[in-house]
Amino acid sequence: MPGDDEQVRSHYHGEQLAERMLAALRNAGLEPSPETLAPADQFHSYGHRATRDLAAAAGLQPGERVLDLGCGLGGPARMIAAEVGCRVTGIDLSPEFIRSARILAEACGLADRCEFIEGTCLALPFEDASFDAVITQHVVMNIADRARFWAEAFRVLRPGGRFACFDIIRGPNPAPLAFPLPWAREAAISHLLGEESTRQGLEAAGFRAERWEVVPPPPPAVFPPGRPLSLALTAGADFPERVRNAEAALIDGRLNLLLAVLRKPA
Amino acid sequence: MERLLLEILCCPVCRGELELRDAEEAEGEIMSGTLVCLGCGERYPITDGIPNMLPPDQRNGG
Repeated sequence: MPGDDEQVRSHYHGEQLAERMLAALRNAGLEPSPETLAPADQFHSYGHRATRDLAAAAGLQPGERVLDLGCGLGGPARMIAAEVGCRVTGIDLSPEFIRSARILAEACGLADRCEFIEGTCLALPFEDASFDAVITQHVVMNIADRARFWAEAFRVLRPGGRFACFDIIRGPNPAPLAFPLPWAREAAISHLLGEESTRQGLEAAGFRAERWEVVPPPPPAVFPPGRPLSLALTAGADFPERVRNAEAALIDGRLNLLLAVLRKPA
Repeated sequence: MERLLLEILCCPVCRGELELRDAEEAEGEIMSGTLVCLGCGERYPITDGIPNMLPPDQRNGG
């Protein structure tokens, strides 16, 4: 759906992101690393802790080939490459995210273990069975054609490979959502599913669930003015308002967080 | 991009095999060139070390 893609791409728009992040770190006297960059490059609830939890839940091992669907600025890819020793490929629709992801990987000395590709998760440019694991965090809320997203993830996994996702889903409270939200300033590009539809869709794609867990809402995000890096720098100045709306909906059950690990049968 | 990536990349439209043409390399990395699909003939540019693997009807964003 090119029309939808175009709107999603413009939602995740930014300029000179890597340059601005590296300058902010320099000004604060910090060296670039997956950890120091994390306040601005982990576009999901619980930040880099979620990435570590997901890597552990997926049982990622050194040397494994991992694909990150909707990798954004590549924060999770760099963290997993650095801390687990995987070789990580990130793909994203946003040219600025991909350009910046590559610069940040070089700045962290991780360019030999991370690579970034501009592309769409709905038509992956990889041969079948190319990866040991596929991960994705807070991406499917922007994907209307969920069946195709999951089918592509399934296709590029080797038999026995794992799909690990940390997603926002619709919760049991049917009250309407308040926009703007972190992934959408209006309803047009927000495509949420509930827990049951998500599970049915993943199983219809051929996956078998090994872990399935609704995660409690995170503590409220803080944006202290003196901190060198925050998501307000990379995700937009209105990010604090957008995250407040999401936090309120997570607390009253309009939204839920889902952590799942599924296997492609061997 | 690393040469290793060529082993798993394919055409996102027809999943055909890709051939690298007009490649310029620096420090073992492919910095520019074109990936041409041997199946459907579609072309994917590599610019500043980044392959743009979007199907042609979805390019020109950002």
